[in-house]
Amino acid sequence: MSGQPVRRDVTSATDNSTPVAGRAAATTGHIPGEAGVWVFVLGDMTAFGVFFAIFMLYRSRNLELYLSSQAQLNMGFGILNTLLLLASSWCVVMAVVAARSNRLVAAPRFFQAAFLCGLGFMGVKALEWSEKLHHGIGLTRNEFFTFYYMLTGIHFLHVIVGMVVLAFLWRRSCRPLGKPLDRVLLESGATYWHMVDLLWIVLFPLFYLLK
Amino acid sequence: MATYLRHPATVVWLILAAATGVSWWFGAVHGLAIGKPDAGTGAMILALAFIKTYLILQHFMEVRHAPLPLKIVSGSWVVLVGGIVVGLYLLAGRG
Repeated sequence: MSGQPVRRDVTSATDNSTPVAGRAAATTGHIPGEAGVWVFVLGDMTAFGVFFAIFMLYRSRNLELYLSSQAQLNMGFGILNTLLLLASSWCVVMAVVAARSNRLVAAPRFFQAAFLCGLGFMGVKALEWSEKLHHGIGLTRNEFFTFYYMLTGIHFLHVIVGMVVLAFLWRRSCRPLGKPLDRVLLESGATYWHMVDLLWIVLFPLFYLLK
Repeated sequence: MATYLRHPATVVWLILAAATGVSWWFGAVHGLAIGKPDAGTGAMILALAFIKTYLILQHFMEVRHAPLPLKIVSGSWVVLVGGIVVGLYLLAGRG
């Protein structure tokens, strides 16, 4: 990146760990961020797993309704949202790589890019829902749409929290990782955002693609 | 920028994007072309989705560098939730 001294240790960009953490990872394993964040993340994933199963169960009991309702969803929006979140996750990975190497220009830029992708996702969702509501397809339209709005809505709340996290990391990454806490916050925030992406990766085919 | 594009996670992203494209093609284009629901296609789309979650866990969330218990728990989520979802999908029968 312009304005920064050339560094020869660019191998740090091909390895997510610093040299010290790399040695630790080889022997004991490294939990990215605070262990408590993983308890939350895995718990949240389990809750969504239950939601997915309940949705699929009800779907199996009313297949025709679900198929005809699904046909009213805009697949283009779904694809776009998937690609936006995947791109944002890539940006977060690169932001963490940059932050670990104390790239104080690159790291905030990547977090900013991830934030913008998140904004894009929210915008597409808002457009999609408003279009549906305009045609009278709301939460109580039928069982499929109740699930659709509830699950994508709960996911959307997670995205909002994630945007706050990204904004925080965007600001913090302008400064070097001084204390161990800085690294913990960095990795914890990144882990949360990747979870948001991961959940959408399942929601997308569930609602938009299954025939 | 080149350093970041050469990062292994970039390859993972390309795989994820490609898998998304493949799923979309099977879900949208193929589904429309054959005109009827196809159990194998749907199961494949779902399986692909859970493979993607596994890739995100391993390579974006760095689980491959994590202690074994975390690897086991996160991997179990993929297998259990994925298995239940695909199983319930096939239970629906025709679709």
